[in-house]
Amino acid sequence: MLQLKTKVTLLLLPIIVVPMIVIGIHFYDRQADDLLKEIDLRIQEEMKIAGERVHSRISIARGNIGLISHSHLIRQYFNLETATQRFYLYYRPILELFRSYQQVFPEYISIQLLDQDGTEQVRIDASETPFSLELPVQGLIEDYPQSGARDLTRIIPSPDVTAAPYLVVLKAISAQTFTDWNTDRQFESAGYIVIVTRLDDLIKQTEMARIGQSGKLYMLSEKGDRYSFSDSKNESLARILQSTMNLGPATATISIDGSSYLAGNTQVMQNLHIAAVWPMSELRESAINLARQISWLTLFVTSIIVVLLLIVIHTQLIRPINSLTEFTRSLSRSRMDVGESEHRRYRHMLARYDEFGELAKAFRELDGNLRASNLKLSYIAYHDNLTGLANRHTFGVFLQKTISAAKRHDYKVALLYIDIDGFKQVNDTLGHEAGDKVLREIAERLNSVLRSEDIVADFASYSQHITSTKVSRIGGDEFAIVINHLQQPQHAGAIAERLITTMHPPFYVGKENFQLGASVGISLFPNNGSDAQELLKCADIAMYQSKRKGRNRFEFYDRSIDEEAFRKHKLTQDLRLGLQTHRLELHYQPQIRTLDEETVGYEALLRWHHPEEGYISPVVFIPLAEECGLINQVGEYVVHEVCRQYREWLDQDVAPKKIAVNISPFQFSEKCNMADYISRTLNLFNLPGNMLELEITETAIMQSNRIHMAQLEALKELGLSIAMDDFGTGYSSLASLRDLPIDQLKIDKSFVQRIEDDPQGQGIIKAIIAMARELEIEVVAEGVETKGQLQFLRQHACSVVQGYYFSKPLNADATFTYLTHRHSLTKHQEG
Amino acid sequence: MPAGSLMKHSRQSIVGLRALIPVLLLIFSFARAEELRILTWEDYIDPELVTRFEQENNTKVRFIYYEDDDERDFILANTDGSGFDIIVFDQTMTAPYTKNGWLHLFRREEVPNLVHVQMPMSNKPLPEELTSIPYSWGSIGLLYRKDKLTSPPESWMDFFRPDDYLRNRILVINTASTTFRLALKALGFSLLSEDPDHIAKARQLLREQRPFVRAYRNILFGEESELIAGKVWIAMAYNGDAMTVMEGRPELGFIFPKEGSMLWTDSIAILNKSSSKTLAKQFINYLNEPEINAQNAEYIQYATPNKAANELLPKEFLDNPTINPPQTDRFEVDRIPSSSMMRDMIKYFIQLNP
Repeated sequence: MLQLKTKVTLLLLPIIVVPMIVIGIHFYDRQADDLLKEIDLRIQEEMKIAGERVHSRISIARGNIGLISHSHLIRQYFNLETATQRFYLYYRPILELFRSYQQVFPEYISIQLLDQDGTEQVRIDASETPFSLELPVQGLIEDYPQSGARDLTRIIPSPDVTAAPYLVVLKAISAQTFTDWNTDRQFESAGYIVIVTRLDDLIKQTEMARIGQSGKLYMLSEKGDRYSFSDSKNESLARILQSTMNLGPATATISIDGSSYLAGNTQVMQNLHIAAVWPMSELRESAINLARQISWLTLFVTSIIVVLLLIVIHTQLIRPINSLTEFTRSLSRSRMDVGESEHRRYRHMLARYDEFGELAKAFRELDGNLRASNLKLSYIAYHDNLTGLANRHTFGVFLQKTISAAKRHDYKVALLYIDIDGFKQVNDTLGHEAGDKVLREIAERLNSVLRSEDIVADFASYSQHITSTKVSRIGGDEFAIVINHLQQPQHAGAIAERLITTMHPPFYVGKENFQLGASVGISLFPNNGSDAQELLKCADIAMYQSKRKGRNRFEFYDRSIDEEAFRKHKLTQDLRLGLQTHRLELHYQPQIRTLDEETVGYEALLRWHHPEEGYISPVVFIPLAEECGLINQVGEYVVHEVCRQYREWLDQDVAPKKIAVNISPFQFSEKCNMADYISRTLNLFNLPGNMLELEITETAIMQSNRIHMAQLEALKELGLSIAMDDFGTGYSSLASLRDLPIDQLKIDKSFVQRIEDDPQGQGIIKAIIAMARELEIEVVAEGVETKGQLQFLRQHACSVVQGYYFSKPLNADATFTYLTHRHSLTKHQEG
Repeated sequence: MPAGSLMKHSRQSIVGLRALIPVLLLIFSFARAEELRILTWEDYIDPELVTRFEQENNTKVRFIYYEDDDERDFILANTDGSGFDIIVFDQTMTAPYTKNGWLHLFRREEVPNLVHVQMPMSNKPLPEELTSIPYSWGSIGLLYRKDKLTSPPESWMDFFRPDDYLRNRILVINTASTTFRLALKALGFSLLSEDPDHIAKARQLLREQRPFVRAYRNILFGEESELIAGKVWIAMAYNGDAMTVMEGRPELGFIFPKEGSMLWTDSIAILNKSSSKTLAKQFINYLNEPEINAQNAEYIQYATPNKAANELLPKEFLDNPTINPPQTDRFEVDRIPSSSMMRDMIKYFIQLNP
């Protein structure tokens, strides 16, 4: 549901976001225009303000000069004829006068009184002036009459290049200054008053002003050089300022070093310009700002829309879907569990005319179909699909239920175990199809017998799905019948009798006909057992008994029946199953060369894990396999498994030199061509013959006449080696040893285990080794468990040993680990 | 020439006062009947004698005080020598004032008591026609706190190049030429030297002294005196002022440094623009009555050029070495500097004293 919400939201998001971005771009365009206009206005305004500051300073200085020149001290000063008198009497007062002006106007760095020739008369300098200010007095005086004005205003560059320039205001004093009368010295100048005022404060003020974020104003000389109050040099700024000199007061765009600026330039007075420069990059910053605002707005709007959408989706989609889901779930429950209110809701659901209504109807239909197939499936699960009888599982459940009921109500139950005699031949000769047909007929006949007997009256109550449980098919040709409410054991016998009888008529398959029989075993509850398991076992034993007694008969379970024989029979069946299901496992025990403790090979040993009885020794099951003819299958299984495993290890580059497998003498029977099979298997896995060693017990070789030399030779030709196992127990004659194509002797572990406490055993081993050396046969000692045993064997040149001292038999995984360890060790040694 | 000032105006108020002077004078000129206006040092005449003169002549005497010579010149420059009847001033300025036409030239006989007066130091009689009459004479020395100084000063160098502990403890007279010349004296040059090298050295000496100087002004009398309050430990002082301040103050001492000092004369004159020249002459004549003059000298504690008065003065007064400094070479008689020197001294001095 969340996913659906998310999907819908993600789908709709672009629809909201894209228009917001388009609106954002439109706003940006408009705002950029507005910003440019505003900046333009600001530039004009700031330049005007800066210009006015300068003009204001000039006009104040003019005013002050006017005041000073009208002072009678100045008049008296110039009225005196001689410099002597001037200095004695007026020098100090004029100095004080100048000083009082300077105190009020600290920006006046110098006030001077000059005589007609420009010679300095009285002068006061600001105390902080770090250098002596020398005015180009002569130049100023010469310029003065030409200016035609009442005074002269000039920008004088500072003698210190890095410092700000000065503003000089100069005014001549003449007789006319002191009086309105026309005098004969009308145009004769008496002297000059000069005020030199600083400009750095105005420059600083001007440069402090900001246009937008980083736009600035500068004061420039007529050459376009920046009048700086600080000594910071900035080449690119200098270029920008230079280029503003071509501009007028109206702003224009200039481009320097790849950056664009909006700039203006206005002349305040001679040699003083004001330039305003605003970087266009601010537009971008403003765009970023705007983008941020729009992002927030988008986020806000989107959030609201998403919330609204979620609400709509929830009411219009998710809730109907939820209720549809509920509805669908309810279909799978039984009708009884669904409450009244739910029913009403579902009816409402079905009554809808939209897609949900359609979907609900579709679900209901689907439900109907599902219920039908479910019934079918149940039938298949509980019945044998060939005969339509209850299957083994159903039978087991039913038997259990029946026994429980019998226990409660204290009545008897009989279990009939039926094995069809001769069915195997039908299958083998006419094939499975014919077999199946026969089986169906058997089932029909068995059922027909029981139809007349109302022995399973309460069967149907067990489950509505089991329509017939009178007879169950529990194996290939095995059937079982439960007889409930048994009055007399003989009653069971009678039924068994009828069952056998019904099998008498021949069976027809096509044109062929057969005679089949039935062996029936009967066990009784509570006489023979208290649970289903026990009852089944007893019935099985009884059936086995009836087979032994000549078939086509029935037997009640009898305690005296040979249980051992039955066990063997059972084990044989399990072994057959075990071979099919690969419950037989191979373990490998390493064989170690005493000389250097190198692993030279492995002996493969068979392990059988019985599902019920656990580990079963080969000593038990190999003779059984020999007896019942399974030995060939076992032998072939072992060879196949070893070859498969060897191939795997070979591919993993960890294969040992060889693996030995034990061979039973029964495998040399004429029926089975062992050499053929081994050859095929080696080819199948593409393996050389010398990886395989066959171990045959001494007894087998010596006592049986089954083994023919030709067979051994054939094996040898494949490249296999032959080992004589359990040597020392079979009283081999030396002569026979010499005649046999034996490569290896394996000393029986009973001798090895006697090494440490039995001098006789030591003697035997020494003898065997000596003999083997003579015959050039390798000797392997089995069952080496202690260091002492190893030392003895090594001392007497027994070349190979095998036993728990080095390793117990390992399963395939553990062997792999052992191999890789050995392998790396070997590699290490080689390296 | 001087008189310690009881005024305690700050420098700013003095500047303010200066700006007001023309206005004040204008008001006076309309307000008066027959009265005398005298521009002089404060407390430089016995008020009892003035009162007596006012009663005898049925007139009114008004005083306008200046604080130092430079201020007086400033006032006169601004009024162009008008607004007063009588001025008391530094004798050396007689020539420029006269030349500028500010002083009234009269015959000696017009003021009969001038027969008692002779030029101080030279002891010459007054000329037949004159514009100024000697009023008193004196010298300049060092007034100091005996209890504060580790040792009494002996040399002008103790004052101009003081020990470190005297930082901000020194008062210097605020008259450019006077201070400059005593600096020359401290350096071992003649008081009247105008050798540029000497002047440069004196200028440097004054610059170095600047951090030790609490203020450039005359000493104050009475409770306001920073010397008495212990804020100033040594001051350049006119000898008569020193006599007045030291009265009843044993912690104060006065010496003439071993290099010697300056001998000055203060004069009295009638301004050309005065409309009460006759009354002015009567006042001058009154002041030179031997008894009056002697009483006045004792009041102001300065030596008088009036011979007849000197004969009336007590021996202690005449023998007092502070009032009558020893007449040796080391004590040089003040003369007006050349005008360019005057200008330079003022220029340099004003740079010291912003």
